[in-house]
Amino acid sequence: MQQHQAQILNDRHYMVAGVFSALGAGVGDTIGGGGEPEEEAAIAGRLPDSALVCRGGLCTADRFANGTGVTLDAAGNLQGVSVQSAAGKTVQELTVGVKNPKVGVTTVGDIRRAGGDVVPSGTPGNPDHCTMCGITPEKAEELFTPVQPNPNR
Amino acid sequence: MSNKVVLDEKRLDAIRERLKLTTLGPWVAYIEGKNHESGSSCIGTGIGGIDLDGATDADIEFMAHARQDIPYLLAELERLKAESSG
Repeated sequence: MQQHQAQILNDRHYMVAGVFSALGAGVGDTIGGGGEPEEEAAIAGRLPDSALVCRGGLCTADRFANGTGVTLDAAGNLQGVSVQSAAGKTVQELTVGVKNPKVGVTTVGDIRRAGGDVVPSGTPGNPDHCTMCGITPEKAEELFTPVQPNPNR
Repeated sequence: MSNKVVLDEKRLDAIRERLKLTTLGPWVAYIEGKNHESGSSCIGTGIGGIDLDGATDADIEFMAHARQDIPYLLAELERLKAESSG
């Protein structure tokens, strides 16, 4: 059992290492600093700071605030924003099922540093589905723009 | 008193011309939480898609369906015109 867990951790380590390598960062670093170590995130079932986060559309503050199922808490922060994220996956892999011609992209680390978080909420049909919360619509626009063409459309 | 309806052919020609210039159909309304997730509601076209800012889901449904509804309505007008003159 412990050996199996060690293998999973090792696999994730290499997956994360690949992302860092692509970004020109050293293995074990965190992008921008301040986040939890990648391996600890993997063990806790949390997304690592380096994971990309994608949402389809123009990603303006208004589009975030008026998303289906989205609410604003007393502090004016978004709750329940539907996004795509997974450790080590590319924009192309994350946006396969996203219908929009444009997508906004940021990282889990950037969202956490702004006071928010991204929590996995995958379904059998969409295992990379996640829910973003805890940042204002304006901050979300700042992080997700400029948007880029959806590589799958 | 005549029941004959006089169509504004000039306006109908303008509608046909606008239709002809649109992106290839069919257009599909992708509504977040209905048939689409992790993105704002948008329109899928025959060759890509359209993202809109400021449109409600109802606006998007209307615009997407208009790409199929307008040809249908024009064809119905033609059919009724032929019927009434025949």
